[in-house]
Amino acid sequence: MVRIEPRYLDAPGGRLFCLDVMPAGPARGYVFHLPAFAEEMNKSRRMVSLAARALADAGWHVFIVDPLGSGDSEGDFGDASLASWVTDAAWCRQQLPAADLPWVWWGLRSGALLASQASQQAGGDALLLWQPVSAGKLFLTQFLRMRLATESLAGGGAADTKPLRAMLDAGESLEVGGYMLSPAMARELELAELKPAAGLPLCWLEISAREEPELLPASRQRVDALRAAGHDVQASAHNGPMFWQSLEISEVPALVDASVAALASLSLAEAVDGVVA
Amino acid sequence: MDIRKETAAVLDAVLNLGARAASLTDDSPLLGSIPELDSMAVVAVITSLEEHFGFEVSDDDIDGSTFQTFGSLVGFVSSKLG
Repeated sequence: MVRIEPRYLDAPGGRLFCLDVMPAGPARGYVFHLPAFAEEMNKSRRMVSLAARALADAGWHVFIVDPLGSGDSEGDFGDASLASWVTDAAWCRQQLPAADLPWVWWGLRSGALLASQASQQAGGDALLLWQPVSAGKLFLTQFLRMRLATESLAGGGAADTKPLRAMLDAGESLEVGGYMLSPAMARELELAELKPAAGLPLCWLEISAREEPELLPASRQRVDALRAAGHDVQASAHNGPMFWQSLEISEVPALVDASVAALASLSLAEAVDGVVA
Repeated sequence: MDIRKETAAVLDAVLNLGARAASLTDDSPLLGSIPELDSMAVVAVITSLEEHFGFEVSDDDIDGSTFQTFGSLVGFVSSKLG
């Protein structure tokens, strides 16, 4: 039986809502979730919850913490920053007495950028990445485009994000899809890159619309680059809808199964089995 | 990489074209002919192409002709891939 307990954490930046999803017996390790950005986080709550339960069933203690200014945590989204989210994540890791168990950062979409920064700042044993955003700059452009999408592109007008960037550069916050994007957050996104701590093993999982799923061409290049940089990368694609952006809340069970299998196959998990047993 | 096939796959994934994706030819009209392709969907297609192929579309890259036909879109993707 998986145990699920909500609580609040008094993190340095404010109170954070945390859901502990725990195995019945002793944990084999910890998985800390770093969510997707803004509306993508809401759309993916169901999948995150499903995967957390499955991982707990496999013996992992999963933390689902709403970053400051999101979900049920304190603060306003417009005042939050990537740096404070990473600092809070690192702080959460430091609260645990049993630091001897393996620690996995689990990042979804732009949460992968946070996961890689957290691994730089607070260590850890592996990264589990779901459809990782590997360049914050492109992600920012795409986020800003959503604001333009409601304006007509008829006549072939491009999705011109330049005026929006000019507003941000001038120090103005922008509302995009109901979220206040601060100039500081925009700058952080612009500079964020997927750079995990040296030597950290990665599980790179993504969604494919194909019946015979395969990694996106762009992801293959990225995975090759990470391997060349010395990371042990397990990468695979799984058939299903893009649940973080689909209109209806959707599920991809194959991604949940693959996550459990990927963490089970990490060599660090084997080492710990001996301790737990 | 079969750019034509990959581009059709992206359109299918975003617009849910089903059987229509398989019958796309260079001359198939897109904007104005595929009802699902409204301004929101154009943005989604651009974003999906970026993530799929790993290039970045800048604001000046796209004009009215890009989404005219399937052929013009494939030509655009090819040019971005250099």
